Amino acid sequence: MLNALALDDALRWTERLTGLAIFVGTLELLALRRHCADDGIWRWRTLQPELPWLTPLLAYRPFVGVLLVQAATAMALMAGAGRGTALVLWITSLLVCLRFRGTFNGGSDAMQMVLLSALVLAQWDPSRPVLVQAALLYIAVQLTLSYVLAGIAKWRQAEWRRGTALAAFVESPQYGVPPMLQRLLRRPRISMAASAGILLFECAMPVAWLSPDTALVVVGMAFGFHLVNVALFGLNRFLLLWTAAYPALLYAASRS
Amino acid sequence: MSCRLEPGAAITSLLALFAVALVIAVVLPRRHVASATVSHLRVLLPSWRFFDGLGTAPELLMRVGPSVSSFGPWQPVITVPPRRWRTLVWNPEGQLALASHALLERLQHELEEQPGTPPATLVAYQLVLNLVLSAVPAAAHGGVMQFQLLVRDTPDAPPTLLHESVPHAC
Repeated sequence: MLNALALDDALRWTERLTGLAIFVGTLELLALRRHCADDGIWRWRTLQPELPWLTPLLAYRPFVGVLLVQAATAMALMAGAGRGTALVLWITSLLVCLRFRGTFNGGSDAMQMVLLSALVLAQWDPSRPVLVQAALLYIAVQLTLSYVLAGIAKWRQAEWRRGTALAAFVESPQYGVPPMLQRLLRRPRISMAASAGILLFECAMPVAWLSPDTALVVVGMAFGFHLVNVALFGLNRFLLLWTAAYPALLYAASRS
Repeated sequence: MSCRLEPGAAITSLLALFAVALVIAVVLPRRHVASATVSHLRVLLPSWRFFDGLGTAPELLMRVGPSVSSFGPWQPVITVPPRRWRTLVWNPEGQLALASHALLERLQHELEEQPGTPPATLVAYQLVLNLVLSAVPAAAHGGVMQFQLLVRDTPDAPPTLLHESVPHAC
């Protein structure tokens, strides 16, 4: 039987993995910084009318500075620098989202803010375990809900219940799904089985809370689910950020 | 007799109530909140709805030419990079493609929500225009460009023209 994940270990792993995910994501943004330059897609001249008071932070050069601060602080979080790092990252992450009119990458930005909000709480007063417990449980609940609510939302769509939705999504040009995988999911039985599997997996996520062993199995399945999503849809940030939330779920299951 | 709740039980109860509230929220019909502040801060209010709506993503086409009377063929603006092993961890080109498609969805949404507003006055329109201009081949600079925003009900359905721009200098 799996040993319970200790509170301190869960917090440290959450910090390391969150820091890693944010570090990689920030490097990706830095690699794309020319698209935020004064002749880029997200040039500040276009966005400034909505947020003029943030010009000192979000015009091109200051924004690159924000990204560099974010990258450095993410490394500090990974290294265990602790107190204050999560708050700095919370602020820089929100600034990045504002720079892109609310979000750059949708759901992964939301999970990043969930992780950072919890870590701000955990780092507020490390001498109070109740704060760390609340932070980790909050992550675990949001992580569970991210699957369950996604599953419920899909279940309400007839195409998902019929097993035809997944094939339609992989045909969408926005994701560039590899042709081999598109051909595979055009087969009705495979599409229906995959759709049913996704619905069952997402809606059954709360079983992870039953025991540490169950949580470990579920986390393994979830990691595999996100690996497939990277192959299908290129959603690598989801893989990194959801993985950062798994220690919290393992801790939560160890309390049951 | 003391009825005081232990901290751990209090946290668990609060989180359980929070979870129930979110489940109820996802079951209720979606309402669009027309507030710029809410829109800019929506990352703080996750809905966790992924791949639920089946409507296909809008498509963006452009054509360029030396003048409005000599446009070339319509061609897609956004290209999605092929998958590589490094995509597991490093995928900036993929992030750009996804973010670019998000611009189209935002423009589609704003065009549908504000039918009386001149499209060129929308920030979403300006961003899509910037996107198209960034994709214009260097050889076409100095000419003119035009773009179309198309939507389909299903991948096999014929596209519906949502918006066609006026010619822009590029």
